[in-house]
Amino acid sequence: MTRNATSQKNNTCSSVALWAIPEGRKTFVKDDSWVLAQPRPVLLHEKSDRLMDKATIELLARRAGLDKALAEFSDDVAAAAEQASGAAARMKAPTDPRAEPWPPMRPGAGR
Amino acid sequence: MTDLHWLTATEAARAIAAKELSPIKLTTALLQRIDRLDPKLNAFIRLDRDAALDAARAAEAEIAAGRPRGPLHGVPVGIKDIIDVAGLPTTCHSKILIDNIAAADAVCVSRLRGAGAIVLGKLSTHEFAIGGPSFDLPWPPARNPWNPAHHPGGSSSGSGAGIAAGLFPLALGSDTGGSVRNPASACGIVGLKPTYGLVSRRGVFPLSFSLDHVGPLTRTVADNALMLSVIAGHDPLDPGSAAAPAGHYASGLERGVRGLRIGFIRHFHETDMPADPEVASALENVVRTLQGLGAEIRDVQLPTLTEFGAVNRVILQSEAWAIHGPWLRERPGDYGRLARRRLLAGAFLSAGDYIHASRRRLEMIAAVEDALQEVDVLVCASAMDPPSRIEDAAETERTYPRQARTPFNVTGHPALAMMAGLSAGGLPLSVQFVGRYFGEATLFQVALAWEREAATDQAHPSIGEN
Repeated sequence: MTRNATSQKNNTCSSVALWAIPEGRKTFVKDDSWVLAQPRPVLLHEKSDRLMDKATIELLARRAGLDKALAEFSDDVAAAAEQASGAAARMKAPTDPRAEPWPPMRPGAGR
Repeated sequence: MTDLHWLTATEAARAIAAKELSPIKLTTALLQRIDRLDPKLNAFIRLDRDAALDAARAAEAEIAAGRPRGPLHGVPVGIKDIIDVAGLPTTCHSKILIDNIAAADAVCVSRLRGAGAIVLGKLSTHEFAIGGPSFDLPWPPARNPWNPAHHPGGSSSGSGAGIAAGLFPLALGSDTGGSVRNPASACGIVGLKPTYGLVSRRGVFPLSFSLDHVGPLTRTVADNALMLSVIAGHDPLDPGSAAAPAGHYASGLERGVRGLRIGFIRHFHETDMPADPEVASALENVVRTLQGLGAEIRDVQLPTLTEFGAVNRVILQSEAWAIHGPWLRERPGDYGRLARRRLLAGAFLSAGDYIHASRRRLEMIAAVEDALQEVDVLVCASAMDPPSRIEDAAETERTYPRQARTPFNVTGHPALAMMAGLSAGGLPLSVQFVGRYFGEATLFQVALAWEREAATDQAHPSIGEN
């Protein structure tokens, strides 16, 4: 099973979609764009979305070319997968879904 | 004169320039102290004794001939072993790069040499500046001079241990998730993560391109300001380098805190990650002291440490995977266990995760910028616990993430950690000051006010005194 397939499958039983925009919090502004009024912090993923079973971990590891690490350090690979899914699950969704990520770092250049 | 090993860089440079102190005598005294203490501390991976003595002799000759090089002429410095020093291995404390000889000095090292500093050698780090204290690497981990059974913090472990033990007055470290400020906190010294882009990273082995910073570790605030003045500056060949002009950070330090507005981020250590009571008490004492000196204290709210940590981790592990992927595929057994586990995590993060983290990062930057519209400086915890016992892997694993340093790698704001007191067990406790972009001068101003009141610069471990 691919990672996307896992994610889609789990989303069907999750209360939080990938873009978790709370109901009734959309308001229109003059320039015809929309913003979220008093956005409520929402986890980007429910934690259960991101838990990977052994087969998924192996598949993703092999796709990343980590066959050797899987053979020699399977515990470390599993621990790494758990770390990654835990960190991704703890991020909140950006309050504006149109927000762009660029530039990553430009101190002092204003916002 | 003070014992030579406790001379600050500022004092040593002044005495050398005035021909009251020989650089050869100072370097020799420090080399002898290193010979005596480093077997207990493991601060050095590679001591470059002959080159250091040659440089000291050259410095003495230049000064005698009236040709001073700069503000650090004749002052010894240690370099974290992820930073290139021409002709020496940059191993990153790893078997992976054990034969990697640097062809040229990193820009920060070149600037130090240009100011007359003497490079003593390469210092211990956590493997590739990630992981933790490891016993499965080609060199042992550094230990804390306040108690060698304890962790000196990391990843710039040798830098922190060596400064606190009086092996050298100046050291370079790097900080991607707190790696300058962690050893500064654990070893009771001063460590600065400057504004992102203020110090060139060219010649420094990357861990995470958008989170990496190079910063100074010293025993005093004035030395930190002096060292930053030397290493800061635009580098057109570092894509992250800022165009902002470097300041003269060592001037204007003594303006005090009267009238400054200081925002106290209590929720970091009260609710996000409840701190050890001694840490909480030390923080209250710092804030009360600054208030007594005339600062106005306000409470400030930022996103939680949990989320700052998650964003830091997703960005760091994604970027680090881009660097380490090929070695992790071919040579996983040449990494130590801790670094291997942390670096492999990037294989399980998606491009979407990275983009989401980058977008949340911009919102976090906005939150800190908003707070810094209302106050001049922020104060908060650095470490939530005194340093753990180095051989207690479970305790180190528990306490390592209990810190408030990663938020300012995510946002790029300058942040300085220093001693806030000592625990009942005689281990350093710490505080962190955070400033506006390129506001390092104000940070030093506040830090010096605290240092003067608490005499933190006079607190040294007793190692080597018997």
